[in-house]
Amino acid sequence: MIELLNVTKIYNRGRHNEFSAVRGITLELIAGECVIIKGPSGSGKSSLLSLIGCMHRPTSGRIRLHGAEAARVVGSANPAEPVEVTSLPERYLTEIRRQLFGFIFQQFNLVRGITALENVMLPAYPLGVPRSVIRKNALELFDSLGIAHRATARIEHLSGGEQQRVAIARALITRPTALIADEPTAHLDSNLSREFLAIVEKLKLAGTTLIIASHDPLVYDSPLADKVVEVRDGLLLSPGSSR
Amino acid sequence: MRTVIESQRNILDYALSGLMRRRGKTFSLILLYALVVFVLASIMFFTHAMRRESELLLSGAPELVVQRMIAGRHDPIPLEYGRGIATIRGVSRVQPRLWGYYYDSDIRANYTVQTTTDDSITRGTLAIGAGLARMRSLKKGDELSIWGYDGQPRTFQVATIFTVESDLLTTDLVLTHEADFRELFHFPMERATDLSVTVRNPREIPTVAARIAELYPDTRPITRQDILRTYAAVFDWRGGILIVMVSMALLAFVIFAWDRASGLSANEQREIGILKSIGWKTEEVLILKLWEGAIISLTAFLLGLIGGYIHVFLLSAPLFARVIKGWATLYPSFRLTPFIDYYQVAVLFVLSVFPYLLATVVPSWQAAIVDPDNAMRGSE
Amino acid sequence: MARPSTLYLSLLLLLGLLLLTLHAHSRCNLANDTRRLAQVARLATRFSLTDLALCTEARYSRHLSQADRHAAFQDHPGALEHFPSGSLLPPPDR
Repeated sequence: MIELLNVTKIYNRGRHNEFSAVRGITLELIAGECVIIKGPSGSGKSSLLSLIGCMHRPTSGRIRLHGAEAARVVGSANPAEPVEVTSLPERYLTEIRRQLFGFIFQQFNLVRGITALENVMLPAYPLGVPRSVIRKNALELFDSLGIAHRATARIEHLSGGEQQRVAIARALITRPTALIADEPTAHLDSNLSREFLAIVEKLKLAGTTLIIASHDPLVYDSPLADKVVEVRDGLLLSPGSSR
Repeated sequence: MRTVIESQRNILDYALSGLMRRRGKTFSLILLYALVVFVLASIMFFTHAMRRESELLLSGAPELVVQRMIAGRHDPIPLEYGRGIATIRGVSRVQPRLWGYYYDSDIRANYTVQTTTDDSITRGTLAIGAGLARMRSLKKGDELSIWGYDGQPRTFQVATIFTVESDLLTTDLVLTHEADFRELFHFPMERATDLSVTVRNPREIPTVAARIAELYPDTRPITRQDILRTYAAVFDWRGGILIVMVSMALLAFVIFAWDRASGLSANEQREIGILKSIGWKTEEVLILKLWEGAIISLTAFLLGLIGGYIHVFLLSAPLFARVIKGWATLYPSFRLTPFIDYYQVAVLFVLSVFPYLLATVVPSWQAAIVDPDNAMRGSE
Repeated sequence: MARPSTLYLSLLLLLGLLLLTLHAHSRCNLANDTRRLAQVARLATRFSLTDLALCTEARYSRHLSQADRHAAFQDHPGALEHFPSGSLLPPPDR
């Protein structure tokens, strides 16, 4: 589904604080798989995730998206031909990002002061879907994640586990083909982490592609992972040891 | 098209729920904002309507009034001046005006006492303004005593009371017969307060005025144009310290609003970062902020404008009456004619809505162009 | 519950309609009032009236157009002018 060919990412290029976050990574992610990116903090995991999630274009190298979905978003005539992210105009990049990917952040990044429901609906607002439809989908997600009774509660009144589920629901509201999670269990105790993995398992069964960066053994040693890749100093250590 | 409308409405929904989240702040801001617009709109409506009203009312004023000045002070003018002025070419009539003031210590009010040659006022009778009649509870046929120069009261019968419609011109007026006036105030015979000159051709008024000033250098001709110009200047939108006083309040508000709108709180900044990270485009974030600004400023503008109109034209500007009234006890009761200057309304709109929009959107720009992966990088 | 945007847009519509009503009010009254004012203006001609009876407390503010350039401080060079009319209505600028 996503193909990275010798991708590098250099921040602050040409300035004194120049910094190479990703240094020549080649990686293939297959639709429906659960891939765990493992590595210590500062290893370049997050940068790799933002490249995969089309938040950025790489400094060099190529990123290609396969599949009819990506072709539809950029209006490509030939769905069989992969979409070259590297040469894509900025506006398509955002479109791809918000129609193909759902993101779960380490800090959850939920908006305080509004309800859990509104938080979940947020990513779908600019897409032009009628509010009633978004609301219905959101409530279904709350149901399936077992937090339906918390839908109208404000974010700050939710427990950590509930917030995590709200963040997952928000990532799923646009019905993405892939879910990208950055250290999803960093702020959870082991019970909640296991609950998270149970949700991941359900999603995987439903056919969602999962890309998870984590240095939590509970996650990368989990039997759910189809592939674990290890990143250190921006380089790939174990090139996609598939199980 | 449908998607565009739907997404705009979704964003508007979210902007509203964001404002409701800060309910107290939002409502107090709208209220304060509306109050400023209300005061400005009231001043605008009031001064413009007063200006047009005085223009129409005083279009009936004498074409030319000739005063005599002695040592820079207004002094009774000899009637022979009038006879001289009558010979100037173009002058059709010269009419001596006798007028002055009378202080009524009972109700602590100043009257304007003036004579008329009108048949309706005979010796011993008066025509009085509606305000005066109201203050002294006088009806037609009642008697009114006026103290003369010698400390003795004279009693007059009220023959006419002016209608309330004419209050703006006549509220404090006491019209008397000329003989009564002279007797009451011991006004010298062969003198008048000033002369009212009628000119056959209005275009000749400046020429006649110049001729009068030439013939009688100690006089000061005041044309109707001068009168109109004086009132235009008085009610000029820019004229009047009121605007200056209000601009202080306005300035304070602008600073407050600027601070409110432009200083993005850490929370707002965080919110924008989250929106970007979950796939909102920069322009969508700006549209959100634009809506937020528009909701506040547009609502406040409409409320203020409507309030101003009601205050000035339906309630006769009670807040200004207190100010303009000052120490005067006699104040005309008048309902202003709703003359509206649409240009001024447009200026008010632009001045009150646009700066606020700008102050909300521009600082958000800074926050909205952050990279969408900021949220992710912050976590590493 | 109705959408917040529906509620807000209806509020805007309501205010807009109110504004239109007031505009209609202004239009309706204008013709009538102008006629009334013309009638009152005839009084000014009939009795040679030169000023508005708006600020009756001082002679220069009562007869603004008849006051001369010394009028604002006429009683004494150091005398304070009348407040507040004096600060709202400037003396004639000639």
